[in-house]
Amino acid sequence: MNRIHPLYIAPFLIVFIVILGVKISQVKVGLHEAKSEFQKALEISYEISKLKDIYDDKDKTLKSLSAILKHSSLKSVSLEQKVVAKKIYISSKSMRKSNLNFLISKLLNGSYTITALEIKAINQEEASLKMEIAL
Amino acid sequence: MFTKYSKKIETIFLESSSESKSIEQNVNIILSPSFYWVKKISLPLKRARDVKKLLPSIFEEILPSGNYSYAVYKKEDYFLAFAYEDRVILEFIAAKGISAAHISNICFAQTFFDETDLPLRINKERTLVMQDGIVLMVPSSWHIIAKEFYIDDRTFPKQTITLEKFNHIVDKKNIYQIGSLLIFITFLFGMELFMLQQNRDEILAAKDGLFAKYDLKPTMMQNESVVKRYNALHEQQMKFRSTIATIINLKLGQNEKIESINYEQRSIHVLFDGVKESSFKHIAETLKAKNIEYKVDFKDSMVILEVQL
Repeated sequence: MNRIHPLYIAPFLIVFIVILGVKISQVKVGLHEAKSEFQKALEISYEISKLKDIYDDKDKTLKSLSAILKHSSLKSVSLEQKVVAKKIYISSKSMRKSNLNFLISKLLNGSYTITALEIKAINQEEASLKMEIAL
Repeated sequence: MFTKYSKKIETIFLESSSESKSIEQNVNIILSPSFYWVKKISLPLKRARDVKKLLPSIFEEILPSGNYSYAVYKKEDYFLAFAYEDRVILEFIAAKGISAAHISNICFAQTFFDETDLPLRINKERTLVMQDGIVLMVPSSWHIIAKEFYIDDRTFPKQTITLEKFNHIVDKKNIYQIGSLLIFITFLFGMELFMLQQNRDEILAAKDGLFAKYDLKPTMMQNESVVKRYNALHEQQMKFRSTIATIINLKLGQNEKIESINYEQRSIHVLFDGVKESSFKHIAETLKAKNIEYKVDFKDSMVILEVQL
């Protein structure tokens, strides 16, 4: 007679089911938040990696700059290249305008963070160049 | 009438004429034949549980309407089948001042007494007798010679019954069906909860993996700030390129030329030579067409153009 009647267990099960239901709805909210956070993190990480690749890849910048400066069109040009801290300085006291056009078009079409630029006409055919690129 | 039986647990013979008595300790109860129906049945079945399934139909003809529970015990070559109303017995017990919590065991007089105990005079009016192997309650006047009520301290029989409190409300079968359904629902809910938590944990782990893979800052706010900074830089660089491209490609007159281009601190300064205020119009139109905002300063034949990025 002292054993628990099965009917007494029913209310406990119902209460347990209600608690589980509440817990499930809480976890569902958490899951929804986790999904949106993950989606947001995915978008941001994609954006950051893409932008880092363009503006924050020191090795890639140095490599591609070196390739441009060694280009056959600029072989005759006396170009000075100096890397200080997180910047690279490119300068030429005098270069032909055609060479300048080639260099500038390459640099403007590439993904470099140009922080300073100075072009001064020397005469009808030549100009001087000073340029600062962030690494 | 209540009769003490065991020293360890008090045993009560429950009879319709029993007096009320407040009991504060555990008791064993022997049910008088007035609380149950009993039948001796012979069936070609071996197991008592198989017989139990048939009892509702076996008792159907003799029982008044009510909600009955059934019990069956196997004897040598026959079965002893019982039918009783839980609610009636429980209500009677409660009316006699016994709490259901204090009931240890309940058995039928049939299973407690054997032929050697009977006839047994319960009180002046009633005597327990055995007829054809069935324990019956008869008027005492039928059996003048009967043993006085005395029960030795024998062990309470193992053939006991459990009274179901809600038997008259819900059928036991239904209780188990409902119970099974609730347990199934609990299981499903538990599984769903487990899977949701697993899913959430996997997503959080994948998010942590992203942070590690792309070397992100610890908080989303910091990362958003990084993106904002990069986007501002990107916008500025794109504007710088388009402005420089526009300036370099300006169509200048025969004696007009660009003397210098200077870019520093997000500001572009262009020095034109040979450009007069009146002839600056075509340069202004080109800049306007490209949505470039500028400031201009005229000095003799020199024009200083300033564009803020």
